[in-house]
Amino acid sequence: MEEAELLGKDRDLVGVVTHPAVEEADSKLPAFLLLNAGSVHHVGPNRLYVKIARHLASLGFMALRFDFAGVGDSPRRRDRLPFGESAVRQTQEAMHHLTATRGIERFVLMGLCSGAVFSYRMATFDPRVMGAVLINAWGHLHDGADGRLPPHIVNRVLVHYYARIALRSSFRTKVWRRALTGGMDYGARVPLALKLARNRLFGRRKQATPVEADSAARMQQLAERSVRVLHIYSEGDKTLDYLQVALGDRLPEWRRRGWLDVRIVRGTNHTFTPLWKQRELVDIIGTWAQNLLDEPRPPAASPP
Amino acid sequence: MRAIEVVLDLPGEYDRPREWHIETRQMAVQPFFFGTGAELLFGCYHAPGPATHRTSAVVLCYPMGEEYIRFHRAWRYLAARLAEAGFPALRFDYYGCGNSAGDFEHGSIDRWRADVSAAIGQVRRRCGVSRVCLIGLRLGATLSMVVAAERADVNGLVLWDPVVSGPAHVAELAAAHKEMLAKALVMPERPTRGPLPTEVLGFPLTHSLVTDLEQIDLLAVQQRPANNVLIISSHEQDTQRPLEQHLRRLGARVAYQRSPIPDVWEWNEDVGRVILPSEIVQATVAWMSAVYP
Repeated sequence: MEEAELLGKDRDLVGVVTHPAVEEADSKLPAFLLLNAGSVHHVGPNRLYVKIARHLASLGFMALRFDFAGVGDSPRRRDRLPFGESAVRQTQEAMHHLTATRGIERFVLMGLCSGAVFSYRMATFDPRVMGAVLINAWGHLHDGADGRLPPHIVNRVLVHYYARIALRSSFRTKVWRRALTGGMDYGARVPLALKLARNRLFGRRKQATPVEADSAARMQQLAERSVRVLHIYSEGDKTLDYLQVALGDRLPEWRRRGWLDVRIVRGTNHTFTPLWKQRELVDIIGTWAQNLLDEPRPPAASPP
Repeated sequence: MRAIEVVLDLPGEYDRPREWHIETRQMAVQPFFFGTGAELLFGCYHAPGPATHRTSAVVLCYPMGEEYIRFHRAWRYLAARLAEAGFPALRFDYYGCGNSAGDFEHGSIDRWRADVSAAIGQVRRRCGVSRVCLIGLRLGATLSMVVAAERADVNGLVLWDPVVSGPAHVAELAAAHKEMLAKALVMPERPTRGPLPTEVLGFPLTHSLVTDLEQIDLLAVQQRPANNVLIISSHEQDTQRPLEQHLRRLGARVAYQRSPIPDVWEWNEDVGRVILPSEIVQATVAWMSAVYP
C-alpha cells in the first residue's frame, strides 16, 4: 500500500510512503528514505525508486520517496539556504515525519548520484541513520568541497575512466569498434584527451592519494558507529573511477577493514537503463537490506 | 529563447537553479491516490489561484516511458502556470507509470484510456466544474484525443506532438533504443532478435503493447474530439499538419503552434538536466485563457 503525503516543516514536500507488505509493521526496523537523483523526481530514473521501494516493502521495510524543495513535485522554498544545506535539513524533516507519524526512529538513506552524496553526508552526523546505500556517488569523500572537486582530481578521474573503459571494461570491444568505424565523436573527445594528457605529463604533481584525511576519519567513525555503508557503482560510469582515484591504495585496506562494501554492476550506465541491470540493482539492495533483518535492534538514538 | 534548460549537476552546482528565478509564485500542490481497490492512480491537484475564476478544469496527460521522466518537470510547471491563471489542474500517472500501481509491462492502451476518464471524473469532483480540457504530450496527447472523441464533456484539447500513427511511433521507439545502445555504455541482456527490441530506453516494450500501439491512427478518428483544439508541433520536422487538416474537416476550431525544440527529444542520461519549454507553456496558458475566459 502506498500513501501520498505532504511533509517537512512547511508541509509542502511531496512524498510517497510505501508500507511494508506484512500484517503488522515492525517499527523497530529502519525505514528507507530515497533521496532525489539530481533533478529526477521521486520515482527515480527509469522508475527505479518505485521498484526499489516496492521490493523493500515486500521484505518488510517501509520506504519514503520524496522531493526536495524545488525538485519534482515539491515547490521551492523561501529559506534561501544553499541547496546542499537545505537538502540536509529537509531529509531530517522527513525523518521527523516518519518518527511522528509511524514511530520509526532508525533510517537507511539511499540515493543515486547526488542522492548518494546527501545520503552519505547525513550518515556521517545524524545518529538516527544506521545505514546508507550510495549508488554512483561522486565527490562524497571530498565532502568539504561540497561536490566541487579540485580540477587535478577531476583530470585524474577522467584519465582513469577513459583508460579503464578502453582497456579493461566489458565495453572495450564496443568502444574500439566505434572508434575504428567512425562512430565516435572525435570533435569532443580528442581535445579533451589532449588536455588530459598534457595535464598528466606537464601538470604539477599533486599528492598521490588525494582523499582528505578527515574523510578517512569520517569513514572510521561510521564503522565505529556500526553504520552500514553500501557503495554500488555502474561499470560504465566515471563515479567508479572517482572512488578508485580518491582512495587509491587505501581502497583494498578500507574494504578489508569493513569500512567499504562496494558492488560493481557490470554492463550498465549511470542510470541503469537496461532492464536486466535494473533487476540486478534491486536484487543487490534487497539482499543487503535482508541482512539488516538479522541484526539486533538497539534502542534508537536521539536526533541531534 | 525557445526552451529554458536547467542544468542541475552535483550538489555544489545545485545552489541556484535558474528555474528558481522563473517561478515567481507558488501554488499549493495536493498529492493523492485515487481509484478503487489496489490499483490506485497517483495524482497531483493544483488548486486554482484566487485571481480569476474559470469554468473549465484541466487534466494533463503525461507522455509515456522515458519521456514521462524527462517531461515531468515541464508538466508540473505547466500545471502550476495554469492554476495561477485560474484553471484547476490535475496531473496524474497512468497505471504502471510513475507512482501509480502496477508495472509498466501490464499497461495497455485500453487501460490508459480508462485512466484518463477516471482522471476527468476526479478533477470534476474536486473542483465542481463540468467543463474539462485535456492537455496531452506525445502518447498522452493521443490518449487525450481518443478519449475526448468518446465523450461529450471534453471542450478543449491541447495536443503537443501527438503520436498520430502507431506503426511510425513503434519504429521511432525502436530506432531511439538502437541509437542508445550504440552510444551508451550499456550491454543488452541478449541481442535483439527480430525488428523490435523488448525494451525501450529503460522501459519494457511488450508484444501486446506493440500490438496496441500499432492500432493507433488519429487520422481515422471520425468523431470531433472537442470544439477547440490547439496543436503544438515541436519536433524538428513539422509532421502535425495532416492532423490539423483532419480536425478541421471534423469541424473543430484548430490553432497551430510551431515551436521547434529538437534537442529535448534526444535520449539523455544526465539526471541533472531538466527541460522547460517556456514558449510552449506560455502559448498553452495564453490559448487556454483566451478560449476559456
